Amino acid sequence: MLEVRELHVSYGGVVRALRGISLEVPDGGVVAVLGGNGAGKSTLLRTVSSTLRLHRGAVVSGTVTWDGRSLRGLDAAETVRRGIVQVPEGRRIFGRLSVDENLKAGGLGARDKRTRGAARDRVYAMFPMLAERKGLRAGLLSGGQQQMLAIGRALMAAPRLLILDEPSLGLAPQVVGQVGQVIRDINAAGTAVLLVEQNATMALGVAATAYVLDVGEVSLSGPAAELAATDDVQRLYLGDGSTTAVAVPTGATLSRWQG
Amino acid sequence: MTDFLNYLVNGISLGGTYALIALGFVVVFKATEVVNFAHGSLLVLGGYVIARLAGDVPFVVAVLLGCLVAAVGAVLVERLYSWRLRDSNVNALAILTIGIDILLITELTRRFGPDILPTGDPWGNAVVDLGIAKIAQARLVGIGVTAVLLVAFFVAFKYSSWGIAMRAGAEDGEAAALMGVRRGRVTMTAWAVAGVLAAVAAVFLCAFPTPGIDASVRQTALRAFPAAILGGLDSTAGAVVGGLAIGIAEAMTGGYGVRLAGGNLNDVVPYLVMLVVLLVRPSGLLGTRELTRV
Repeated sequence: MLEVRELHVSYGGVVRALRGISLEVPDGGVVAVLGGNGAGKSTLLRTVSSTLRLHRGAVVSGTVTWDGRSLRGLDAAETVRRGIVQVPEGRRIFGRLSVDENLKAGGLGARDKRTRGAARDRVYAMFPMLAERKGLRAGLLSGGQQQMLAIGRALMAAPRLLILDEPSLGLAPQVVGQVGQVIRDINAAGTAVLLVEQNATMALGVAATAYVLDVGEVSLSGPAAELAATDDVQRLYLGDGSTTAVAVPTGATLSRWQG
Repeated sequence: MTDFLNYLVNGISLGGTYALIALGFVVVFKATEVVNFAHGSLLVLGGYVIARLAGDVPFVVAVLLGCLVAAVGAVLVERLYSWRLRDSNVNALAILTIGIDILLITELTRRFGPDILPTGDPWGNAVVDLGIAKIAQARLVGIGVTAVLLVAFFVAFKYSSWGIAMRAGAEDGEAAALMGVRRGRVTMTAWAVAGVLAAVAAVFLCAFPTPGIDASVRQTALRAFPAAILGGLDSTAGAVVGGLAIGIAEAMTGGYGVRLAGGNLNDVVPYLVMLVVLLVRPSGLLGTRELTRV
């Protein structure tokens, strides 16, 4: 279980990006974090995946623990070896490497060879489209395919917690639906998911629990279905009915959070 | 025509040696974005160890030890800055390597004194007649060894975990870190590889007809720097192409005795070739960095 308690983070000692955030991702659960630009979503993820230092940020106070052990002070590679892998915002696949090499790069964080081999078979089974394009330069894939590759690459390290930073960014509504389905499949296989999104419709459809961040603080939290029904979330993140209908391709998802 | 072929074969041999050195620059640059100006002195360090051990131990052992010392020296430079200065500006780090270069070469110059030390290679001054051209045996071996090392390097770069981690990290360091790539290890390996390549290059740079090694070999080694630039500082294949281009240009202008402004053109031709190439292709022949950033 990932536990964040009273986390304060600042950049350069000046800009306070997080002001006392607490949240939990239970084993095997799916948790969504919503919030607009500057709410602190990326900072939260950087803290968990230990890349904060690359952005000259530092934890001021608070704890981040994974299975009861603190994640503070680890480097990013060590965090991956403990089973937490993040799919970065904007996909960030290695465009000059082939599809297969991208997956190999993802497997560098795996504990051993056997895990890596099994993970690769699993990824290719999950995304047959990638198997067909093994030798292709990853930069030549479409946006949706690149997102699948980015997710597949992260799965190569066989994570127990998969973090996704805005996976629906810049994708067509239909592809967003596919991403949602992929997240459900990954979770069904036992991997916990922490999903950070501006696209609240997809996120609330997939997640069991959700948190809403506002200027570095948790302004709302609770079961995703309840949260989706609140006036604030409706107004701020879901908009009117017409936009939600476009963004959600599966009818089942719609009924869950409107009922 | 015979002259031409002679110069060409010698140019290829010299170019191969430059390619080994240039590859060291490129590997370090790709891994860290630092231009390593200490590379020339690290080469002299490796060559010095080989020459000092010559006669006491078998030549192959001397070369292996020379490679080891150069690799350790390179890794120490890397450790020095990644210890406290990892987040510093890469330009500051490049200037730091100039400082290390000056310290190291000063000490090596003191140790060499006025001597030019033979590297103790087994080929001596033997010359092989290839029919189309004559070439010193040492240089012929140099071409062979260089070819083997380059192939080995490119196979490792393409297929090994280190190679994939290197290329992934060079393209997007943060994404690579998020995938669990241990940046420190990749970087250390890159510097060590550069050190080994430099020490091997020292052997062939100082073999017959060169009388031996002294601290001035550093200047010769630094000619591989324009080779790396003109090939594209972030391109491994470019380092090989650039090295060969510079080597052949130097052998040709030197062989035909082309003079420019009262001096021998071959002394400046590496820089001249680099200037011309950069005017046409600002990121080098095979460089990609600037192009992909647009």
